[in-house]
Amino acid sequence: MTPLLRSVSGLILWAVAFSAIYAIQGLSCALGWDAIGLGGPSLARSILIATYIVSVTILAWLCWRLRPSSGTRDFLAILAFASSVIGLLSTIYTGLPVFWLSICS
Amino acid sequence: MLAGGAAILVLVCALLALAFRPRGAVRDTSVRRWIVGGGLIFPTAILAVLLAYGLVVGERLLPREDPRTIRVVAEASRWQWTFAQPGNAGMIRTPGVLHIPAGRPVDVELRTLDVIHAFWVPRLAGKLDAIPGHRNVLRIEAGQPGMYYGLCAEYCGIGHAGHGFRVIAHDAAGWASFQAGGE
Amino acid sequence: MTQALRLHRAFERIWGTPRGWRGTLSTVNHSTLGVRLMVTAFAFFLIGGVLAMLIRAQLATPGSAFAGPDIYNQLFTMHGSIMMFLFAIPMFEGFAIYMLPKMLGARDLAFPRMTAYGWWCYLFGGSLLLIAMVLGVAPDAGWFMYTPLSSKPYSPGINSDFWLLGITFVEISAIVTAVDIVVSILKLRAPGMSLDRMPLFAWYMLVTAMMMLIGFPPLILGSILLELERAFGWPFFDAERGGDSLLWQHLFWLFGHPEVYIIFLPAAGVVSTILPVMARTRILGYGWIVGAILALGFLSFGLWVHHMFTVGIPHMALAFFSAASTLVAIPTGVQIFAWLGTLWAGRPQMKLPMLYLVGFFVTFVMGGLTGVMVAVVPFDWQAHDTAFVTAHLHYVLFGGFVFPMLAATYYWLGHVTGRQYSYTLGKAAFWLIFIGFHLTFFLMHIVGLLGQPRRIDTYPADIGWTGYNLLSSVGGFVTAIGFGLFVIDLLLQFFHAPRTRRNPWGAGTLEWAMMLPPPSYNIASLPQVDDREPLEAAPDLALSLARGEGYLAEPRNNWRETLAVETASGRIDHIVVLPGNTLLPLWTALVTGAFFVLMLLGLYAWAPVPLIGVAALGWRWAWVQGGKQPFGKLPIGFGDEACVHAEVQGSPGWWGNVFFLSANGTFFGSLLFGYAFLWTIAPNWPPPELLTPSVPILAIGVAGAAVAALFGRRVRALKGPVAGLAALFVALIATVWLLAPSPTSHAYGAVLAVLLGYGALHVALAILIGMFVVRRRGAGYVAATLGAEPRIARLWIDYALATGATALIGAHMPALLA
Repeated sequence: MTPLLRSVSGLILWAVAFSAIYAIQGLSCALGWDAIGLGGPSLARSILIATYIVSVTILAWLCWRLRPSSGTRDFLAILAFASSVIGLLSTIYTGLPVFWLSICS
Repeated sequence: MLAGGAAILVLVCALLALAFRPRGAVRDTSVRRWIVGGGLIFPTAILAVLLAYGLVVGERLLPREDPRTIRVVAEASRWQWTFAQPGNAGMIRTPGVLHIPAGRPVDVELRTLDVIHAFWVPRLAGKLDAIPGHRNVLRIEAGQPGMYYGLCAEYCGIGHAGHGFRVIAHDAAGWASFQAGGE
Repeated sequence: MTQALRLHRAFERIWGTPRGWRGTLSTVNHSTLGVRLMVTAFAFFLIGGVLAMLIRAQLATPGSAFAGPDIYNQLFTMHGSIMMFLFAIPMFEGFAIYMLPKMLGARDLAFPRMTAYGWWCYLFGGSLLLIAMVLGVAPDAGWFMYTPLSSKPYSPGINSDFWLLGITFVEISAIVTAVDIVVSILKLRAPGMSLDRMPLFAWYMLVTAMMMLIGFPPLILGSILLELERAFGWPFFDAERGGDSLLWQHLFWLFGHPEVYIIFLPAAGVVSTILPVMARTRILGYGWIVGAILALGFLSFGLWVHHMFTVGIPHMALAFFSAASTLVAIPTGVQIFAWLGTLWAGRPQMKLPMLYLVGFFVTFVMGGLTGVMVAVVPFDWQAHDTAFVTAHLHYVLFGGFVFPMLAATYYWLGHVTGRQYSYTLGKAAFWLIFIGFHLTFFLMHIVGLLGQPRRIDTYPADIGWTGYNLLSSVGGFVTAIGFGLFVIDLLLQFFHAPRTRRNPWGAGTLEWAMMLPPPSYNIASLPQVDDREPLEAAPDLALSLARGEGYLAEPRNNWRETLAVETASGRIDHIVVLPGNTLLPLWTALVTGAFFVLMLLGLYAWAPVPLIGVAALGWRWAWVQGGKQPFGKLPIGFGDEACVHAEVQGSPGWWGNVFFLSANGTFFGSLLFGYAFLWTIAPNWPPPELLTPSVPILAIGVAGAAVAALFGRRVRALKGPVAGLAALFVALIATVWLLAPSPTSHAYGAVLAVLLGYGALHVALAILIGMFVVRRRGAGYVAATLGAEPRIARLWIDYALATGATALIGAHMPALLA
């Protein structure tokens, strides 16, 4: 069970990050955080960007953690590394809109 | 987008067709070239550009503050559209026809009395749903005076096919006369 | 008598299906049931196809009076529902049920009785929808059943109930089949078949079945909520009383988009299997493809809102889903180029299956490209709900599923029938289907961009759509003639073709290492696998296996034996003794069906009776398994030995429960999502009246959960935890009965009732399972003492206390804080 879970851990983390960012966006609009300014970006945007950076950092750490030792032929280990890289790139890509798009309109 | 799509289709078909040509011993079996080049880099580059372009356009289409904007209410029901907007002497309600001034942005506030409907005037803007309990606002703008056809895009029951309306975009004189209560 | 013939007779006596009606009704054999599923699904495909022809007949001319809007609405709703739920999913399930054990080198699936139960549920649930159609009260609210159009005020008839109940009945079959498939792939493989030696098709099915376990529960939840609203007036989707029709859309598409990939992936698995054989080479980039499948499995859950781009969701949220929708094209691209590269690497031959694969390539790539277009938000604002989208989805599903399945038919038909392909009708059928399909649907792109919306029964003559629609209809009928030829071709094969030789295509995978048509036990002995394509190194494997030169070659105790392996490495783990033919699946499906029929007829007071019946049959189902005598290590051949599954902790039953509870957890998670969604997004919140909080009741429940969590964990004692659960049960029932507001007054009360009811039901089930194992221990069954049964009971107790306590606290907290 554990090797199987490890081999998709990066993708699971992408799903968690994606859901979290989407949930925070929805919650911010419901609670009006978009209108609360923090000097520069609004409260909503600040939280979103912070979540984004934390997610990307965790996934980057996971990639480093799961890097396969050179020359390994352990299929699941390579798969785990691949899925963490896919998770990292996907999180970077799907979360980019937090930086500039309208949050609540 | 259409041309790009067609080009990709032709490329794939050509690669497919060429695979069947009779060949000698030398064959290209490089994982890197096929999968990394064709499967990863090629689509990623195209898709990222397309996404960015779509988001820029989408952001520009959002309703922005504009002092010249007028606001109308579109009330959808099975199977009728009724429009209401302020005129010179109180609200003007117009069933089946939406009157707007040409060349000015119009915010259409969408309401429904029963099921979900969708307001769509293909030549003026994209579509937006009217959902029970929610208030959606669609920005439309007619460049030229004239008549535009609109329809309900979300399936709404037996009368769905006939659930259309017209939009009349007036020039300045026509608009003034409409607001004064004439047609 | 030769060794092979002796073994054949001995195994056939153990595994065979007796003749006569009793054998037909009681069989649990995966080959028989797989074929039954495929034949049933194909019958539904033909019915759905006839409906499509009626739709095209109606749209061929403007202002057509062929069918009135009421009939027309039933036609397209049933066409979509049948093709999605009663054709596509059961078709690949049937194919996987038939093929997986053979490809993996096993004798059957992990849960043969579940396989049978799944087929019966599908047959009965699908029949409910057909009955509705014959009676003229078929569902008519569109195949995605948007509320409030499908709610009681706007669909007062029984039509929508047929959809909700019939489809949910069929989904039961999808869930049990998915568990069956996942556990079979992870555990029931030939010795030595590590995960990276598995045929790619098994990888595709593993991910597909996992996606079904995560993707279907939201739909089942949505259907239950909508049926509760229709039957009892609980306002989950009624905006006046704090419900929201958008909740339905979220739940539906949370299922609905992954569904597209659930349908596509098995077909892609077929392509990855057939294509290298046609090109006389191996697949290029096995590991890359596995990575791409995993990525698709996850990413496809991040797309569902792209069906909701026009409901008025903020642009940033749309952007997340637009990004994910473009991203998902990349793993698809990886597969396409892996296939192209494989063709370039080999020497492809244009045999009949390859011809259909070419049809797949052209059609599916076009569908993918238009898919990328509609993923772009502003484009979708125009194209959404027009014929453009209809065209796109048919390119994806017909291109991505029907063409590969047609290729599969011609590739594996000889495997099922034992006869060789000998006619040329298949080629003519291909061209008719291919040309007809593109004529029908290519034009729909154009007419959609000209503004023709979906689901209209008529259109004016002067709007410029007439020519396109007429040609589309002509194309539709050409396609239908093509399928007519295909059916004739199939019948000729079945009744009128010479016998085939073994492995006619020269393929490398294990399904060809057996007699054709396959015997009931598949293989007289299990091979040792050291390669992805075992037949390449040992072309005579079929003969040596039939002679018993493998594992488990000697029949023993009249057991249906097959081997379970360690998940990752493929090392031998234990012997699985599978259950034999029984009428239990049929009875359970009938009693399950009685529940749905009572609900349909509005006899709600009687509906609990069959549910109690299902629980009783479930008890019996588990009770008849296993024996009281421990066997210890038994020889399995080559000097190896292993225990039977009743004496190990990681039996297939344990794995099955883990995956069933994962699906169940998704269901519970979707319910929590619904609760939070309504609270934050829905109109008319907060509710007029909150729950009356009671600290004593909350304390009793939490204390009960704590007792259940902490006691008896190490020694697997069950009585203490069961007592704790009983306290939690009382607290849940007391909360819903005494403290919560009426479920009809506001969506808040309705959600609380479902949440607490869910908790109470699962706590009750866990108590029942705990008592079951205590009884089994007392009776001296091996599986309840040495085996996995206490561990399974513990799993259920943990699940029940976690969800029960979450429900209890989740219901109390907002009221306590207020």
